[in-house]
Amino acid sequence: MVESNVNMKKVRSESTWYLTWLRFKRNKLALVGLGIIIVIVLIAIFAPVLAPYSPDEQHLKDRLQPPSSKYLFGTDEFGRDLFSRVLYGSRTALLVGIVVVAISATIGVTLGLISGYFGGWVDEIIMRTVDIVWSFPALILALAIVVILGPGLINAMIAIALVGWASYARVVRAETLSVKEELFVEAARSIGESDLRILVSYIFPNVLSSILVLITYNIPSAIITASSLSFLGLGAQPPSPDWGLTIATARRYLTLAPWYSIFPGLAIMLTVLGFNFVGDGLRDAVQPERVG
Amino acid sequence: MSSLIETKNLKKYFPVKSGLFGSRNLFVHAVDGVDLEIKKGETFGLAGESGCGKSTLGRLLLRLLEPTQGEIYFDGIDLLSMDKKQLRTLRRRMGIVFQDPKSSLNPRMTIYDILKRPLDIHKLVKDENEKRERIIDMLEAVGLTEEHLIRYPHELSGGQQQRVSIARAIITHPDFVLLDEPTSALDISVQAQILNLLVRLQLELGLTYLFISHDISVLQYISDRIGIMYLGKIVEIFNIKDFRRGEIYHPYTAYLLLSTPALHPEKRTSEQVVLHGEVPSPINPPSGCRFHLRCPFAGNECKKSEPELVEVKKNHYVACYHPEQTKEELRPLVKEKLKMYESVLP
Repeated sequence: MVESNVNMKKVRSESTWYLTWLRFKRNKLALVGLGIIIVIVLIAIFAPVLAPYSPDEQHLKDRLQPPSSKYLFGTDEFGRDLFSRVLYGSRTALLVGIVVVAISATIGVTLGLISGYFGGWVDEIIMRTVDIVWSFPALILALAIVVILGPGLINAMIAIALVGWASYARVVRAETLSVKEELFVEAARSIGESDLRILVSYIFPNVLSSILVLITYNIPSAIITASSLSFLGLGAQPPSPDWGLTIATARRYLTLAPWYSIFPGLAIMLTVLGFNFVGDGLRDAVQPERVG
Repeated sequence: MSSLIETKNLKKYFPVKSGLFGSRNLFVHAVDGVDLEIKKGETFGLAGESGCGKSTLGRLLLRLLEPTQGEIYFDGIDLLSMDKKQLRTLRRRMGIVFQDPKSSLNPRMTIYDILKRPLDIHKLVKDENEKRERIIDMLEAVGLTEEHLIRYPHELSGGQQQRVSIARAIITHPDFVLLDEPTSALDISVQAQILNLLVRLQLELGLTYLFISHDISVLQYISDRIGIMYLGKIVEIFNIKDFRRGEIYHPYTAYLLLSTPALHPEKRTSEQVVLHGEVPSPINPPSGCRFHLRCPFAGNECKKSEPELVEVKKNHYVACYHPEQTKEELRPLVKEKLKMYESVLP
């Protein structure tokens, strides 16, 4: 066949994921974001090695010291080294991001797939529930759930996930509605695939890129919400080095020791920025294959 | 020859929501009472304008859509009485190839996985090596090679993608393959390759085809019999021999043929005959004969009642009140048009 000779030279087979990575790579800002995330992950893993002090170690003589060569970010009201605490705080932040996303994506994606694929009254029930969840400001609803569950980091994460699944459900449903109209889904039915298999092997892989984009936006917003809950005293509890909690305590010393709140605040900002840059890059890298 | 597929009074109405709350219940009469018989081993061509319901009819035959009314028999089996599981088992015996090759293949699966799924679903081959061999054999049968196995659909050309679609449809050795405009999205040269491939595979595997197309010139090349569809109904069914002799009894068939563009416009002897008017809305099909608004021979009876599909000569069915008049008056034009096809026939 004439046609097949075109591909004679050995080129590596390029999956659509590989093409997405090539497009992502071209986005400088996204690479910066990816760099920030990698640094934060490394900090979280190697915090014990990097931190000069234990995060709970009190130096009562050095309370509320400004940044110096001894205490890079200064100290708090118990003389604990803020640099070490900010480093350790990255662990809580990432934990929150990962746990919240894992729970809310699992719930939301499953419900979104079912809703979009089967339609009818199932769709109606799921989507009206989404509407109800979305009719509250996220923080207020999370706040209400934490109040019911009781304060604490784990309950805060559960609360945020119970609010966050709704956006996955809605996006995945919309994507499912469009993907299920593709001919390859009809072809799958024509060769005798079951509904479950069609959802798992045909629709899910084709909505995965949108889910990934959503995840990279969801992680920072989960971190911010968790920090806000901690700031309000409903999330992480002392003596956790959580950034939000640190800012909350720092509020009392705002005029006396401004560095106390600035550094954890910067840490939150950088983390959120990093994930958002990656999210933007990913969104741009994922979309062209829709058109072309 | 016995029949492989038979339908009785098959109907499919799609509800249209209109008004603020979808209060008025209107229906698109996509397929509106079709009696069809497809014989074992033949290629039945189905032609008609866009929106006449030919693709819907095809999907109904495979029960990819649920009919509103009617009966479908596949090799004597009542398709509509089957439950989901039985139907999925039966799907081994039917295949489908779509118009758009790009959208027909899952972009996240390699060609190997795409072709392996039918074998896995129907547990046709147990051994992994045998599976691989069968897939490679199939790929070679449709004119691709082993190295395409690891490729993703977007790495192939439209013609190659369509070959993969064909391979997927026939890898289970089905009895029946629905070809829904399989060549319309391809270049002319690739179209010819794919048509020849389909003809060859049919001979080798003894397949029965339903070939749907809006292009009579493609159909007359590949079909044994042709059915013409207009607004959800079949208006004429004929042998390819009758067609080649210019024996056409329904004015719509004649106009469908005459509307195809001339091959050598400069050699055109008579004026191009074009059908006037739009296809009426399938939501509210006209009373009487559906074609009477556009028909040059329409009389009073055509407005009042709908003509039945009757046998005008052996194996030639037509739903028209003026078959003889149509045949005599349009024959010269039709014959002239057919000459054009003869000149390009292989």
